[in-house]
Amino acid sequence: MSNLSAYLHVPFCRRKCNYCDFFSAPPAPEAVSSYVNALCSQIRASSCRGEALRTVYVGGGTPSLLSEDDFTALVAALLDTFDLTSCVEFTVECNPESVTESWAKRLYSLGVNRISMGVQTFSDAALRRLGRLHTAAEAEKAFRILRDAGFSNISMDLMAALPEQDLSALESDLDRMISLSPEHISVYLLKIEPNTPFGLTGVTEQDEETQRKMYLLTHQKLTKAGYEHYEISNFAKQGRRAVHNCVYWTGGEYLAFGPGASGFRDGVRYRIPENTAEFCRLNGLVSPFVEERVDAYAQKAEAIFLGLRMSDGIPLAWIDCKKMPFLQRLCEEGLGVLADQRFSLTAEGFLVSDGIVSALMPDK
Amino acid sequence: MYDISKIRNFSIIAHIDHGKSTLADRLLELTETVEKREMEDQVLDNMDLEKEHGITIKARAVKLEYKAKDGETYILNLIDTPGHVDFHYEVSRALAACEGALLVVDASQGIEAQTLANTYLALDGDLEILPVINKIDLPAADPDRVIREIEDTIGIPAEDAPRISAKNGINIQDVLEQVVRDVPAPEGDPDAPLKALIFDSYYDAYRGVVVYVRLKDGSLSKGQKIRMMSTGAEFDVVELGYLSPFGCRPAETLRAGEVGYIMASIKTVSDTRVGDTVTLAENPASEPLPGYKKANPMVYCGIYCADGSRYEDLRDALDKLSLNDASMTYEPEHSIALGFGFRCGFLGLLHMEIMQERIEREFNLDLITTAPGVVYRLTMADGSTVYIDNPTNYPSPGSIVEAEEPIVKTDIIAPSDFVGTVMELCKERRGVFKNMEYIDASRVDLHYDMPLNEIIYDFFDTLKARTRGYASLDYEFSRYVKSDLVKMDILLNGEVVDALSFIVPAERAYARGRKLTEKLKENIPRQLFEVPIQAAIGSKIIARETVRAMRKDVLAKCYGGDITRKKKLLEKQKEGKKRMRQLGTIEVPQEAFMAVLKLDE
Repeated sequence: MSNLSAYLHVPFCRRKCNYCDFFSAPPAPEAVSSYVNALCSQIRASSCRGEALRTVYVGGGTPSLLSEDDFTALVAALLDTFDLTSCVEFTVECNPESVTESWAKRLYSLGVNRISMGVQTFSDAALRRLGRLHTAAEAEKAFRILRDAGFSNISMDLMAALPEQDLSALESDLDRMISLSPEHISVYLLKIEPNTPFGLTGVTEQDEETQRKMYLLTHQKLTKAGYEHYEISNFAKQGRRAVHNCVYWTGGEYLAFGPGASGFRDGVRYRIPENTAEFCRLNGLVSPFVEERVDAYAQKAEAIFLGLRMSDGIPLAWIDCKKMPFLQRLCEEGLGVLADQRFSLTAEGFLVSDGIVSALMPDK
Repeated sequence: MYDISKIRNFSIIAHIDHGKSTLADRLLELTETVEKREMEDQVLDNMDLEKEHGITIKARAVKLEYKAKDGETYILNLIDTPGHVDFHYEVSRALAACEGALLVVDASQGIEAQTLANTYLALDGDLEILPVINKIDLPAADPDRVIREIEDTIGIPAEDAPRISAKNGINIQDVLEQVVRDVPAPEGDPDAPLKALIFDSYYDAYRGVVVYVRLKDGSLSKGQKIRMMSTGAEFDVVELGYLSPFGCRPAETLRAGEVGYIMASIKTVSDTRVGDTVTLAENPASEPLPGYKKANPMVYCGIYCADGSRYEDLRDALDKLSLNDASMTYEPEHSIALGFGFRCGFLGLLHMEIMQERIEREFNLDLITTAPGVVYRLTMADGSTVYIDNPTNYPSPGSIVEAEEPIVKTDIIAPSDFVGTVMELCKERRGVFKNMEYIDASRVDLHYDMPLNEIIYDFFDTLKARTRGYASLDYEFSRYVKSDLVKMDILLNGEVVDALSFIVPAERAYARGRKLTEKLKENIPRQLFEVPIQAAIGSKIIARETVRAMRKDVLAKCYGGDITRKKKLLEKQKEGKKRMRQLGTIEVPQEAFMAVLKLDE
């Protein structure tokens, strides 16, 4: 079976959200079609031609800014280049305001089998504050359109600890989310990045104690509603974990397409330069740059820190036995669990996992 | 031409900031030993640390040639001395190589406690004291008052003292004339068996130990074999010569009365003891020169490397530094909390701080030091007497019959407006008032007996702060006095941290325990687990604080493009932890061990 994945980055957004520091910009006229051509050309020129892809993920930015025909061209390029017969998951990210019936139907017919939609909150006031272009009602409508188009695997993103959000506001967001019953939910605690409108205007994160309560409330409610808290920020119904994202957390390989995309192949973490104009001018034939060559130490470190992001945890054998008293203490304090020769973190442990993981990182 | 009657060996004694180094610079300039354009401010203070502190730590020597008004050319050897209270030993070394000393006094501030202490040291050594009134151009200058003060307090004539401004180069030549006229020429016989006093030395990575000597009798030439009289070790002189501000100027021969350096491929530091006498292997002197009064360390602390693997480097640093500062003692010790390190003894708190900084800067080591303590004398149940310089070794109370702590005779000179303030402070610090003298209408000299333990906790800083910087302090060991002492332990997460234990008078225990636990709470960062901090005497807990556990420490997102960056962040976090001491499952930053040093009660 194939173990290779592909990530495609769409570097466009109609409007940049106030909290976002990802690579994206509003598309210039004609830029989208020029970009799609370049992206298809990059895919077709892949040195991995002929290999089977297990998952494909189109992220951004706002992939739903690409038209139905753009997607048709994209999928054609993928099909011409790679073997997609064993592709178990093909995800496209979207924003609620750009989901239409025909778009959804076309994507479904092209073989896209999973949609990840950024909802963030069901409070219209909070959505405006975040700089989102949709309302709560539009998000619910988009969800129905996707369902009606045939999508049986939908993920929704929610944000917690928004400015001025209190516990009851988060609780009602979670309730509305649960009532829609998507297969997968990601919940992120708002982080204020320096070079974002929020960061530049002095918006601050909620205090630690509030963030903590919100995180634990999310854990309790979603777990009770039948979702497995399988990664620090991710929840899934039985059998609906994000297969593509799990590739990241288990050290799997993935190819990168589109400006700003990251890949990992043959021990090298690489990135496509974040320059859309140059990407288009060279028709996608740009040289990626090496971000890191993963040596034996780095591989060990990654396995530990990525593995502990997941509820599955890591084999005990990966941890220096001198650290056992520390693990014991973590378990006594309810931060970790030792079972079946594995060590994993609890929801409380996830909350302080940077501190735990940095203590468990191997020595160079 | 060698002519012993034209040699003058002198040093300068002064209080910090009274302008000693600036005067030294002017003397170098005027004798054209240093060209004006080469003149870096304060040439003699050539350690960075000295420039920053504005004080001279190590004695330095330099040879000047001066054509006096009588038409003759004189050789003036200026031997620099430190001014601070902690450096008596250094001062006494420098003075032993001289026949005279310039006593520099600030025309506005007058005599200070340390000036007095060093002047008495010079008088003890039968040196000619030549007063110099500096900073006469300051608006507040009152040279007449200061001259009266010198005559009244020290009892030496000062009417003819040069009135100068070292900073602005006023009347500097008067100082040189005074040196030529009043400092006695050295006495000594260049043909007698060699007797040379080692008054300083340092380690040069390429040439081995370089010793600074004052020849009292005899002559020494390149190629001769020398013998150290206290150890009997013998070496061939590879090079010798005179000292300039820019290093060594080689010569063929050094003769009685002269000051210079010797290099003899000396590798081991312990072979060249400051205060020892150098003689010739053939035709040795029959008796060594009298050595210096050995200064005994009064303040002790533990010194450890932040990076435990650099223990050997620390030993090396201590070996090298002790070469030119024999007043520092060190012995290996082991702490459960801090690993392998050294118990070091110093003459005082400033001495301790200076040495720590020198180790850190000159040897590029990160140090952790434990709270300074004094040496306690205990009479045990079996009748024996033990001296304890490390709280860890303090015996259980049941086995002690009597505990005594060191008391120092303390002189504090302060403006009379601050008498009340100073008395209050001394009382807080368990001082016993002896008497008080008026130096003049506006300044008093207060005499106290104080426990040394009180002085090493921030006393000097507090004194300065409460007297707006006007008070000066000097102290010397007096005697041991019976005291009600207890050993206080600090527990982190229920475990005693040996490096934080200290001895405290019983009456202070509660206050100090509370203060210390609070201070530790500020200095220990929140971590994964709650950290209880307790202060205990024996098994009795007298104070408690808690560092709450970390509540949130996680970056929510980590996808394909975040892995490298995220891994680096975690590695950085791990490195940060490395700088902390791991005590069980608790991480204690280095600063926490130091925090106990500054406890303003």
